[in-house]
Parts: sequence; C-alpha cells; structure tokens
Amino acid sequence: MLELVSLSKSFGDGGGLDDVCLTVNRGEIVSLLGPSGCGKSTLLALIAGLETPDAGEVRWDGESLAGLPPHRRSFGLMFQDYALFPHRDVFDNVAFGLRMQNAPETEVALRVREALALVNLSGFERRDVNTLSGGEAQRVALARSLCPRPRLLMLDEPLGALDRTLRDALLDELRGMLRAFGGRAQTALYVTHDQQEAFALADRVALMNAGRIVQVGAPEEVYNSPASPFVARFLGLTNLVEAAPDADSAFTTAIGRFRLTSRASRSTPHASRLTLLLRPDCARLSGSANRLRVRILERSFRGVYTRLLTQPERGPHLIFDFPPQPLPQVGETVDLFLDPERITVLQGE
Amino acid sequence: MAFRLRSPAPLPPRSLARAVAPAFFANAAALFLLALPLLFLALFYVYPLVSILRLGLAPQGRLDLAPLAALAGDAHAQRVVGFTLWQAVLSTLLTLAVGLPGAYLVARYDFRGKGLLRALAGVPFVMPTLVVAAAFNALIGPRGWINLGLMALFRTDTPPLNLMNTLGAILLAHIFYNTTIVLRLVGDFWAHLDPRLAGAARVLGADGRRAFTHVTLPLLAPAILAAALLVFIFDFTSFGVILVLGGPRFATLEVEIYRQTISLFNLPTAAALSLTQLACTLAFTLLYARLSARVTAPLPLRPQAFTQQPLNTWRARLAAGVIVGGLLALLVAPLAALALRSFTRLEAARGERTAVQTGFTLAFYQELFVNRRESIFYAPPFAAVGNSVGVAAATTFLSLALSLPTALALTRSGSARLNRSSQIPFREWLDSVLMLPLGTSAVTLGLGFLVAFSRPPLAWRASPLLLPLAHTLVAFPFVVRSLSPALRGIRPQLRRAAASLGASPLRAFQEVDLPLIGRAVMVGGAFAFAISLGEFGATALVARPDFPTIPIAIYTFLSQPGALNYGQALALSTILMAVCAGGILAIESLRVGEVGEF
Repeated sequence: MLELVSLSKSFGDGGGLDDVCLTVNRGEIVSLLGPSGCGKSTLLALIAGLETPDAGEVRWDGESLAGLPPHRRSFGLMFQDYALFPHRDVFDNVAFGLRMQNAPETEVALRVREALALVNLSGFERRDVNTLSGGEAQRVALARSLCPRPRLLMLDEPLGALDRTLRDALLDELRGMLRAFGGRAQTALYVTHDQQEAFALADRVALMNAGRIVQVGAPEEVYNSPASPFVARFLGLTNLVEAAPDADSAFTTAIGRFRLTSRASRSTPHASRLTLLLRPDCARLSGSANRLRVRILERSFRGVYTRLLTQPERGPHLIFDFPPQPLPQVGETVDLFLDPERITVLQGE
Repeated sequence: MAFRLRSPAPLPPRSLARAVAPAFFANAAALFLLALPLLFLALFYVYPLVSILRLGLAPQGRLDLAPLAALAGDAHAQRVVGFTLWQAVLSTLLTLAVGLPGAYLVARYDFRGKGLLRALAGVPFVMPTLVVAAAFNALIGPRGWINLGLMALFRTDTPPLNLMNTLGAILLAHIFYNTTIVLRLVGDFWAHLDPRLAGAARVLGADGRRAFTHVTLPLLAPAILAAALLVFIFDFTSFGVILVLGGPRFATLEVEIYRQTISLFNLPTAAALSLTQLACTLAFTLLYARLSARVTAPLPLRPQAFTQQPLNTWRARLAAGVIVGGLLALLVAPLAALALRSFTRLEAARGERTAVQTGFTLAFYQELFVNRRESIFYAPPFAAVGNSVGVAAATTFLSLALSLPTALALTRSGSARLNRSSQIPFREWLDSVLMLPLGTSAVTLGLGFLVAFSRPPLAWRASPLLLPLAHTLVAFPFVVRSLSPALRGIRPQLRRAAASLGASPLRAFQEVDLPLIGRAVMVGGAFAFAISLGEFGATALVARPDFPTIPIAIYTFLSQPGALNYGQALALSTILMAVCAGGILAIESLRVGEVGEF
C-alpha cells in the first residue's frame, strides 16, 4: 500500500506540490487527473525517488522510503514518450528489469515471452525498437515496466502520444492488461490530463490543481458531485453561475431564480460564495419548474444527443444536450425547464 | 565548433525529463569530473602560455616591453602580419567560392555517390599539412606530374609551370584543405533548412532570385560566416603548407615563430610574435563561438528527407556533374599524384637530355628500411612510423581519458532542472575555457612547451610523454566535440527508465550511456589518432632529433636535395595518407546521426 504523507516540493518556476496526501491500496488503479502543469509528473518523480520532497514522505506498507534510491524501490515507471533503449531490441528492452535483478536467463526468456504475449506482441522479440509504430512502442514500454512485476506501476500519460483511434483501442485493452499480468491485479498510479482515460481505467480518481489534490473519489462520485467549480469545469461541465441562497431551497442568480431538490440543497454548505452547476442534460422543452428563456445560438448534432448553445436574457452562454426529438431552430427564442434533480450547488466560484 | 540540431523530439514541458537532482550536486559532480581535465589544461596549456608571456614581456624578470615595441616598429614583422592576414583573407574567399556551390548541391539534391563525395571531401581535412604540401609538390612542383606532362608535350627540359614557392601554390593547398569545412558546415545546415520557407516567399510573390536573397541567404548567413571564420582561423595559423610550398620568400606569423625559434634561437622575439598570434586567434575564436551559437538558434529545421530532390533535369545533372567533377579534381588529384609519384622512378638528370624515362619502382619504400651512414637518422627512417604510432596511441588514450569526463560534466550539468539560469554561465564559461587550445596555434603551443619544460621546476624536456601530451592538447577539443553531442543526445529519461527498472547509477551508465556513445568514442579516438599522426606544428618544436615522427621525417627528407630523399618523403607521405584516409573513412561510416560536428 502506497501512502503519500503531506508531500511538498517547490520549484522556482512553478509546477511544485503543496501538502499532497494520497493512499493507493494494493491492487487498486488510481488515476491522477489534472491539467498540464498541475504537478502530476513532479509527484511521480517524488514517488519514484527521482526527486526528494522538501517536506512529507512517501511510505510503502507503512515504511518510509526516504533515502531509498530509485533503483531499489521496485516501482515501475512507464514514460510518456516510452524511453525505450534505442540500442536494444524489443526482447532486451523488456528483459532489462529482470536482468537488473540478476534473474536466470531461462526465467528471463519465459517471463519476457509472457509479457509480450500479454501485450499482443508475440514474435516481435528481435525487432529493432526504432522501427516500431507508436502503438507497438507503447505496448513494448508497458511490457517492459510490467515484466519485473513492480510493487507499484506508475504510468505517465501512457497514451498521450497516440492518435485518437489508437488511443481508444488501447484504452480498452490497458485495463485488462493491468488486471491480468502475473495472475494478480497490478497496483497502479495512472497520470493523465484526459478525464475519459481516467474514468475508463481507474478505481479511484485524484484530481489535481496547482500542486494540490482537490478531490479524490470513484469516477461516478467525482463526476456526479464535483467538489468545486474547478473540478466541474475540468470535467467539461461548463454551465456555472454564481448564486445566492434564499428561502425554501431556492437560489438567486444573474440569469434567474432556481429551485433544487431538497436533498441537494440540504447538503449545501453555508459558504459566502456559491456556484450553481447546471448539468448539460438538465434542460427540458416542457415542464413547470425553473423556467429559463433562451435564444438558440448554435445547434450541433453529436450522434446520441444534439447540443444547443444558448444565450439567456442575461449572463453567460449555456450549453444543453438533448436526446433525439424535434428541437427549436437557430435564432428562435424558447422557454427551457431545468430539472431540479440535475442542478448541483458548489462551494466557491 | 558546435554545429548541431536541436533535439529532434521536443519534450512536453512538464514531463519527468526535467526533474533531476538539485543543481548543487550536479555542479559538484561536474567539478569532480572536471578536476583532471582542468589540471591538465592548467599544467600543459596555461603554464606554457604564461611562460611565453613572461619571456615576451619580461625576459629579464621585470616588465620589459622592448621586444614587443621593437616588433611593432619592425618592417619585416609588419610584412609578416600583413601577409598572414592577406593570404588568409584571400584563401577564405576562394574556399567559399569553391565550397558554396558544392554545399548547395549536397544540401538540396539527392544523388548516387553523395555519401562517398562527402567522405572524400573529409579526407583532406585530416591530412597532415606536410602530406598536403608533398602532394601538391608531386602535382604542380617542378618535377610534378603537370610539369612532366607539359615538358613531354612541348619537348623542353625546363618546367614551364613555376607554381612552387608562389602565393598560388599556397592558396591552392588552403582551398584543398578547407573546402570540406564549407561543405559540412554550410551544406549540413542548408540541408536541414526548411525549403518551404523559400516556398512561402515564392507564394508571396518573390521570384527565385529574391526568395534566395531575402529568405535563404539571411538564414544561411550565420552558417556561412561561421564556416568562413573557421576557414580563416585555419588559414591564419597555417604552418606546414607555407613552410614547404611557400619557400623562403613567404612567412606567416606561424612560420616566423618557428624560424625565430629554431634557426635564430631568438626566443624573446618568438614569444612576442606568439603573443600577437595568440591575441588574433583568440579574438577570431571568440567571434566564431558567438556565430556558431547563432547557428544553433532555433530555426524550423527539417529532416533531410524533406528537403532534397533527385537530379531530374539534364541541366541539373550537367551542373551537378561540373561541380562534382571540379571538387573531385581538386580533392583527389593531389593525393593521387602523391601516391603515384611515390611508386615512380624518374631518370632525367643524367645522360639523356630529352624527356624523362618513367618506370614503376618500390625503391623509395625499400629505402625507408635502410639505415645509411650519411643519413641524419640513427635508425632506419621507417622507425619514424613506429614512433608516430606509439605517440598516436598514447595521445588517443590520453585524449579519451580526459575528454570523456569533460564531455560528461558538460552535458550532465546542463540537464539539471533547478537554477537552470544560473548554470548556463558556468557551463558556457567552461565550454569556452576547454576549447581555448583550439584557438591557439600549434607552433605557439610547441614553443610554450619548449620554454616551460626546459628548465626547473618542470624540466620534463627529456620525457617521452611530452610529445603525446602536446598532441593531446591539440586533439582534446576535437575529441570533446565528437563526444558531447552523443552524450547530449541521450535523453535523460533513458537513465531514469533504467533506474526505475532497478539499475544503479553505475549500472545505468554501463547499460545505457556507454553503448550509446560507443561509436562516438571510436570516432573521437580515431580523430585523436589521426591528429597525432599528422601533427607537425607543435612536433617540429617539441620532438627530439633522435625521436622523429613521420611528419618530421618527411620534412627532413623534403628539405634535403636528391631524388632519393624526395622519393622517400613521398613514400612516407603516402603511408601517412593511407592511414589517415582509412581513419576518416572509418569515422564517416561510424558518424552518429545526420549532422556531425567538427
């Protein structure tokens, strides 16, 4: 079990960490999710032992790892651009970690073959790594970091360098590979700035911003109740309006007065600044509650839903998604009714 | 003489690549690695130069500017300085005129035999000056092939072409030597210059000529200037070529220092001349360093595959043929003449008055193994080959032993993340200090050795190690320059990947760094070996008479009369040429990456 206890690290040029605490349980995949520059890679460097924290410590099973050099931590690290050794072929790249452990060559051969089979690269043993395609290089890098069976595997934007199609295909396989290798679930820390990747892979997601962890939870939990407007915005939930509470579970905003379900408003903290999150799927064309008059600015067909960009009488543009149905045309002004169930109140702005 | 592309795949700014140990430790480690090289430079570069300085400025132990003042007022010295500058400027301009069309051809077109042309063009660069001098002697000398041909043609027994001991011969040899610098520096840069830039100018309405003068030429200018300056520095400090091809009428500063030292034993004047020379070359080197920094400035550089086209029109083919033919004639003819002449017997002087009889002979080579009593050598001339190889091996070892830690320190400290801004001065400062020997002429270095190590406290004049040490000083900057791009090219993540897979730092160096720079180490070693084999300037002053190297033996033969001596000089030169050419061709096939460094 990995524990990060109040890790701090500062750099002159930003990208530091501030009091980061996180636990990764054995067999669990935790995703570090955040925009670039939020300190994700620095955190990996601290865990791997490539950097020393200014304060706090990294523990494994309760034992501090301070002072233990990277090569004695038995942590695997898969690099964003793979960092395959250009002077070694596929087999020797994958075998590198085992050879550092002085494993007998028969075992090396067996386990390399096993790792290559797992990533569907059987038969690639003697290929020159400089001739591999992006997807193949990515698999070799994964096999290389999995093969020595690290107690923790860290993946730094492993799909970042691939094009979208390949990325989607590998995303589906990756979880299976992490689950299946060596007959046990691999403990893993997965760094990405892509929420889809994080949600698809991780048991838990840790959202980072400006060197801090701002929310930790299961993907559904984080998506359904973002802890702050930052998290909401980062997850692509952009309909945010500043709000002030008034009587009986209602909130006054610049674009109108909205009522939430009593459950949603009961959990409302009494902070000075509140923000309402209007989820994109909260709008209906008919109803009675929370009427909002908008003009349709743009309309785009997205397959399973259609997205409308709208302009309320005052305030910012809002985006709403509708399931297939007859929809108003661009330029029309219509009344929308916002489902109280799909409105969340957040602290801060 | 850095000339390299930026890292081909720029890393994302916030990736792990930037995270390293704190700068303090990086600097401490760098200083530890640099301790030996810095000690070496202090002892064998700074100390000899200071000795010269003392001799030139304070011969009697107190400051005395009389020798310098006398030199400044001396008409002969002024003529020497004037001629040194004049011939260097002229040589540089001619070299550019010959090299630039070739650079264009190599940069923009892809044709069969291009690699061979490149490799051949590199051969003269490592040719010892004396071999080049002997080669031109064999081509255009009074008994050279051209004159022999003309004499046979016009049935005369006086050589019609009198090029020897003229400025023309000197210029020709300088062009032969340095064309490859223009081909490499300008050609490589041009080859990676995005042709779409000129294309964009064309689309915006510029015709071909204006696109060239407004876009391509300004972008190329730093590369052209850097190449010109480098050629100029080499021409400015030219020694063997002037000594042999120029004859007694011509003297550059370098030759004058040698004469003052060896013939007149006027050390204070030689020291004063050295100071003048040193000041000039240092100024030029600094200028060059600034220019080459601009060559490495970020430009939209492209892999060669995107910038080159085949020769697909007959006009292009014709032009390419003329350029390639001209280059080959210039680069290959003298060397071929040399080799051919060393196997040829000429019987002209005695008996028949008419044309010369020629025939194949191995006599000159056989003679190398004979110890004649009247010879100035105590051993057969071939012993010089053994001496040279021994010195070259020692030089190779010393250069690598000093250059490897230097290159490591220079490249590693640059990758540290913290205080990046405060590190750059430290590195650049060191970089220039380590490159200083490059801007110091070999004869000056030799003179420094002579002055510094002939008397206590460091009376090492008799040590057999002195010659390899002098050669190491000359080779060291070149070897560092071949190692550092390879080391810099190793992405830091590879070492981290090794660490994360359980490799200790030492193991990571063994498994990652060493195999990746293996070829660069061989290239650097080959450079050191070739430089040592051909080194003449410093050797002429430092070598002891009973321990001649090949160039010294060649010079001795050349300066003595008689066909046999001349033939032996050519035979020895041919051997040296074969070894050096083999070396540079091996380097070419080993060269790592697309863009090399000088």
